[in-house]
Amino acid sequence: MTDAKAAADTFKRDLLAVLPNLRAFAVSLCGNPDRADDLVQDAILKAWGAQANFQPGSNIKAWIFTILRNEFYSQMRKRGREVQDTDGHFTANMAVHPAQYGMLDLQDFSRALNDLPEDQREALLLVGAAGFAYEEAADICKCRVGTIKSRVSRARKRLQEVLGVEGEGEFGPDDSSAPVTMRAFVR
Amino acid sequence: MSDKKMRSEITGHHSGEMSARPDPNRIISQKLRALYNSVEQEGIPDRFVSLLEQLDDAERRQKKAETGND
Repeated sequence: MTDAKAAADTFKRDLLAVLPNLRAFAVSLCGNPDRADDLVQDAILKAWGAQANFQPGSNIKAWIFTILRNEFYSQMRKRGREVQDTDGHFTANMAVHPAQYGMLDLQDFSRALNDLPEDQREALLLVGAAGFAYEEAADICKCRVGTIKSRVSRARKRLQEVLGVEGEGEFGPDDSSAPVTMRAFVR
Repeated sequence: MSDKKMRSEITGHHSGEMSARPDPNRIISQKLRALYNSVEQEGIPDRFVSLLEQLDDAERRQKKAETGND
């Protein structure tokens, strides 16, 4: 096997390995599974075409996430905000019931996440779910580490407000039921 | 500000009393990961596996054509 062939096989294998994570990022970022899969496909095609630019041994995950993210924003600019507006309208009409804290299902969470500004949503996803360090997320989003930290913090705060988690002391579970609720979440 | 509210804010930023009162950030993180993992666990849709195979095949054929034979 030639070195070039070995490198190509490694590239393909590494790309496949990171795909489930990349796809979860795409779905969570654009809030629309069909559009997300198109986005993933575009990212794969771009990555394949740019294979020569990839330094073997460097972080392929960060590299392909960067490609997908750039593709997301470029498509969003081209399409205007049609899809986002629809989602925003949907979310705006959703009643918020803080008292339901503890029983919120993932669909409610997904809507709240989708209603965040894109920059906050992507920062939270990269750091809180995709497994990137703040520094890596900053590289992917081409901004400073402090900016990522601030976006993540604002995203968490906003989600707590929307989902009614912030005021848990007043209308959330009491001290004795709280651990039970926690177990229900992680199950 | 009530004592209750103050306590909730304090525990929101420290992990010391996590067992007694869930940290709001932790709840958000768990929900986020649960949502993310639910998509991640779907694995790789067939369309992407075949796409990569097609790209791979196309590249092989091209290389073969360039070099004459293997």
